[in-house]
Amino acid sequence: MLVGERRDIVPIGDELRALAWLGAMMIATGTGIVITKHFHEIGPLTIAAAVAVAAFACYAFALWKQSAIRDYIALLGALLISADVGFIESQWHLLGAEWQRHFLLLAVVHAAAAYAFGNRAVLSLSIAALASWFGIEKRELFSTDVDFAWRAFACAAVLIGWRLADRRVDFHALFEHFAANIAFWGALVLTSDTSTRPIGLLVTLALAAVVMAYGLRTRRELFVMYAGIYALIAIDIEVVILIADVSDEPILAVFYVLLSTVAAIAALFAIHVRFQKERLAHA
Amino acid sequence: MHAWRRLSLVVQIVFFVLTLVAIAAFYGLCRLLTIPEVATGVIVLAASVAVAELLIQGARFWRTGVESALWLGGLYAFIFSLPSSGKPEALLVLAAAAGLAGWRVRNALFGILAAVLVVAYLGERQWPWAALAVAIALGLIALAALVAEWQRPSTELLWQMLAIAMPISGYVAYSVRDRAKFVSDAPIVAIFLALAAVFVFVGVRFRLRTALIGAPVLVAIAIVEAHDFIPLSPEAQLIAFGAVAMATAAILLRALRAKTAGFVVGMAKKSELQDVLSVAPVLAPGVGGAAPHTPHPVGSGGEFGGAGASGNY
Repeated sequence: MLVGERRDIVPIGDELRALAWLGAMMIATGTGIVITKHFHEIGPLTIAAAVAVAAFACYAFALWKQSAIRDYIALLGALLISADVGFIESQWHLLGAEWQRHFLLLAVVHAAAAYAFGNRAVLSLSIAALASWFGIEKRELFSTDVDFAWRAFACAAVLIGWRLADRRVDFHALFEHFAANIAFWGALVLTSDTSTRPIGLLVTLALAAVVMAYGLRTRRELFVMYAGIYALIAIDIEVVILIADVSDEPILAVFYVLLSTVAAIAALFAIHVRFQKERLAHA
Repeated sequence: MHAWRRLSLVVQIVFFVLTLVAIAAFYGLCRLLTIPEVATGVIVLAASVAVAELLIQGARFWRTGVESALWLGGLYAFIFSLPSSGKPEALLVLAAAAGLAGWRVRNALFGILAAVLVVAYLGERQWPWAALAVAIALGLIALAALVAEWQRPSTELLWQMLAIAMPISGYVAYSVRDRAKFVSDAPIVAIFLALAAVFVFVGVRFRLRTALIGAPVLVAIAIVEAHDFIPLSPEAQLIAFGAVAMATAAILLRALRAKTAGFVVGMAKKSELQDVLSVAPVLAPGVGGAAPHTPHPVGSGGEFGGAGASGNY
């Protein structure tokens, strides 16, 4: 321990909560393996029913019992529901050709549970299921080579809309991080595709400007970092390909990457210093 | 005089990675200029360390990720530029470099890397018992050191991480000695259970959180090693021990909730790192991959996420 640190009060709540989270993950993983390995021996109907009962038991416990590990029991219930829905769909093809809709179903079910329990971990499962659905769903709108990018933008837009409509302040950060990262990945996919490279770069830079402004306005440094790094990657892709088109000499490209990375570090560091000064001024 | 510049962990990681990219680009540039490999290593080392020292001494950089990456990246670039002999002693050279960088920038992670590389060297030399003994000895020394008071947070962090990481690395070095067979070894189970008991005793007696975190890790190692002695399948073990972990956490949280002295529950910490980590698994698997052509989920998964349901069933 450090000199001057107190030993008369030692908080260990975070460690115990981490243990509970680990326990939930172990049970969910074990259940997943049981489903995969033993469904022929146990029978699909028995497995589907048993996992469903276990999941509902978790939710019932989380609803009616005031426990210190309520959040982790609810998370376990959500993970079991995910496993069960995936298993049921793979066994009985209830949704037929529209099998990917089970992700949408999971997104709705997990969202309802997240709001009922006020649970951020379950909300992140819901958003992940929604992102999966957007990643798989195929419609006319998404039939081009860069459809992944459009799906990512659509997903990010839905998340922003959800964030604006959301009344739970503790959920906001989750929507914002997901939306920013998914949108940036979509923009980078556009940038890396030959046919859409210029527009991809423009979209990435526009997104970076918006995200940076948001980070600066709300004093959240991570969003400034997202903007800086994704913009750097997009500009690097564009410039390196441009150099490669003009000259066969890779030295120029490597020299450019070196300069741009150092410049990015310097710029991000300058922004960080500004953040630090503001923090001190407000302290 | 300027204050030391320190950054949050996420920002440190960002700067660390960006600086490593810059070092790699500089190394590549030197090579493209047809500078011989060893000379490139020397140039990159000299430039990296010079810039790092300039930033530390001149601009008061400390724990920004930049100076750490410059020191470690420079040293490793130099080592990797040397002709490779393929001998396990190379691990000791890498350990020395990590130790030197860790000592200079007071980075506990580099110290752990050095210690792990030494244990890996002993394992690579086919001395599994020596690897295990050294790792356990270092873990116990770190545990004893934690009882004392330390001026620097980095020193305390080094001891904390050594106490937890060393037994794990020792067990890994020991258990991979014969990759073909993974048979339970009763003395190893006993050693790790005894170590867990020591950690619990020290943790409770001296109110050390690190020891209490290390104890379940040691029990977990003992359980893994005792796989032949436990009449349960691995998946049943996961479920059973997961339930035990949750029940233990619930009982202790309940028992401590009204306590105001000694071990207490305390307030849950909220960090932005949690939000970033929650996004990571969604972006990781198969970003940008093609949509599945099969009409059913068997053998296909989500393109950017899964919510726990995109596995193969």
